[in-house]
Amino acid sequence: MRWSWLANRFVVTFGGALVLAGLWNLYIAFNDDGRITGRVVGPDGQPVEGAAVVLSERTLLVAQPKGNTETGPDGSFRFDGHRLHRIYIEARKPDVGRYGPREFRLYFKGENLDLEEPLRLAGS
Amino acid sequence: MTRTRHWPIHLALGLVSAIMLLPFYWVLKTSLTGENIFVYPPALLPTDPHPFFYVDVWYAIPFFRYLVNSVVVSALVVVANVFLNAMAGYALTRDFPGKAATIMLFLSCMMIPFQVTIIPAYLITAQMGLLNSYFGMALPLMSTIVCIFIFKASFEAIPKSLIEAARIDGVPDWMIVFRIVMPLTKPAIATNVILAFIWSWNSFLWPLVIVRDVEMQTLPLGLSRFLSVVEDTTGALYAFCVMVLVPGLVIFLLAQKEFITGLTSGATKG
Amino acid sequence: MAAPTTSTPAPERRRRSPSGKVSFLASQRGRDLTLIWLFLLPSLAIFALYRIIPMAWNVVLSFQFWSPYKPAEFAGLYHYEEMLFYDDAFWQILWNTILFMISAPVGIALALGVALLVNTQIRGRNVYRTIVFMSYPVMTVAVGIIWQWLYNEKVGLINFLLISAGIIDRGIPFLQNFDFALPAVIIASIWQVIGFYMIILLTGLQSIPPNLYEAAAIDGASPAQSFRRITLPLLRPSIFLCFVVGIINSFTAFDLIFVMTGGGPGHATDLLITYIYSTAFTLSKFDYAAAMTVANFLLFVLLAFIANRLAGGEAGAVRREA
Repeated sequence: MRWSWLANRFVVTFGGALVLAGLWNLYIAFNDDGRITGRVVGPDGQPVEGAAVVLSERTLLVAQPKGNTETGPDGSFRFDGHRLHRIYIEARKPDVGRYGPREFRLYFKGENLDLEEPLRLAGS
Repeated sequence: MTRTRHWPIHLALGLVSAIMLLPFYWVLKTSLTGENIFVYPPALLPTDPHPFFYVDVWYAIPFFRYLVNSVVVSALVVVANVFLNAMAGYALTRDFPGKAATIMLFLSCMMIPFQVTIIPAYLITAQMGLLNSYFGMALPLMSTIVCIFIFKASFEAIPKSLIEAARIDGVPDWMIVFRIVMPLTKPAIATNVILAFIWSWNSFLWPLVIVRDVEMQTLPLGLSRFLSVVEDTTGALYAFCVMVLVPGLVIFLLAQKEFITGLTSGATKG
Repeated sequence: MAAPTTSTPAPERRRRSPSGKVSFLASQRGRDLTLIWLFLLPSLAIFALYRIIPMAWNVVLSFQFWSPYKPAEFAGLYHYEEMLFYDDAFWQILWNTILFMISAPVGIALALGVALLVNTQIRGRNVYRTIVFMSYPVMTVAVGIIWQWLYNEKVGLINFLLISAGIIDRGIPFLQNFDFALPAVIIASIWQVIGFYMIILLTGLQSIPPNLYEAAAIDGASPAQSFRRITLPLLRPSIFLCFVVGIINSFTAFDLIFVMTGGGPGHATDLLITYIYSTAFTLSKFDYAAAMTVANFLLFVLLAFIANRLAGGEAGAVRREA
């Protein structure tokens, strides 16, 4: 009886919303290291070393570069500690080709993004 | 009436419902897909819905701050309304010299729409140093004449003998109101809570007049500011609209029975 | 000493008699009165502060030259003269406001139709009722944004429907058009308030005793006749109430107009309340705005009075006829 007020539809709805918000924030807390990882491959599918990868931010109005790095021997790259939620990733290497810039939208700022699909350079 | 004659009514009401619901649907759809002005005719069903406009809005504006401001102001208004209106309503069920004059005063105040008082109300609030404050936003809405009369009517329905008995038992008068009378008038309280909530939650002109500080803006102010500051972001604007509308609509749908009886009893007695 | 004769606030009295053999507070009656006035005090204070004093101040201000940086000076009828004879915008805006107020019957008629339909014994009538009513508790600012889009020249749904139906060839920028802007805003406002009208009328319909209709049917009255002879007359108080709501709506429409058009184009959609707001808070002409506020208030009272007379007078006539 003492807990019967919990069955009130207002308590259920808003309590439920609060619980969901809490869980969502918990999830964010464990996944917002701001890590972005991926691999760059050439048109032939082979890893490309030394490709320049640029990370840019896109706000509602403008895009501006927020970081750049180069791929390692296995074509992989990594950014850490970004605080963005709407990003562009661009990769290029002279004589091999370029990729993007392609837009990635994240669910929250600094969401970890592990790109399964390699960035395939194309054209020149 | 026979069943066969019902379909024209359903048809007519279905059409009316469509007109009433279509704008809501369209806002929801646009908030999930953005607006593509190059597709003609506009697609009725969402293609590739995604939640990212909501993410954009969340980071583009201090939504949480607006929400907290709105909730604080509404909470102040609701709590004050229930207590002040119940007190005034109870007082009006008793006999005292000047009662008729007080009731006349309340009724004539009802003929003064709040909007026509904004200029002096603004100056008064400025004098009291309440500009840019929660209390300043809430104060004018803290007591509502309609709700005072709703309370009065429901208190009068309580048997006098109950109050007399409590008084003979030595219960102090102020306690009679809060411990004995008010628990018996739950519908009136529910009506009051809902009316006060909806009025304060949607209130726009008054906060617009007295709030200058972005940090103190409530949801409607934030929405109108977003509209004027940011252009070409239809998806984000509608996502914001949905975020603003959902709390009010959820409360309305949960409490619609009390809400409708409240409005009608308030309106017919007003 | 036991019973006060006037409505002197009790707290003062308490201070005046801190001691004494038969103190005011010691008597039951005295305690009762103290409590009553203490209970009334907060509400009275709020209404004094935000209704009565402002209304009086408005009147005073309208006869003064005053701005926040200037001491007050008696102005006589200066502001009223400016308003009536020199401010061309005022007459247009006054006319807009009157149009807005007297457009209420259109919404009420529509709402009456819906209320009659919902009042039948069909399945799902509560769902319909909720849907129609849903636009009322919605935030007016959001309603403004939604309707701004509906009226949009290129992507708005209304233009799309009109073009599809072959009524027009090209989109009309409704809210930027001098002829269409005010009706467009009025339609949006009716859309929002129609559910409220419907609920008021529905309550009125349900309070009509069904045996009246039965008696009329036995007497051979057609549905149209019983609607005209029974429903309409008995519904008159509800209709009057709707009309008052409609008039007040011309004040609450501030939110809608502020968001949708900002009063433009020109002053095509300015109502008195929006013009008062911009005169006072963007031009800082508080004194002139106060004069217009008085005019707006008088207009409101006048229309409410006329509506009241119409409702009362006709209702009486019908009662005699019956």
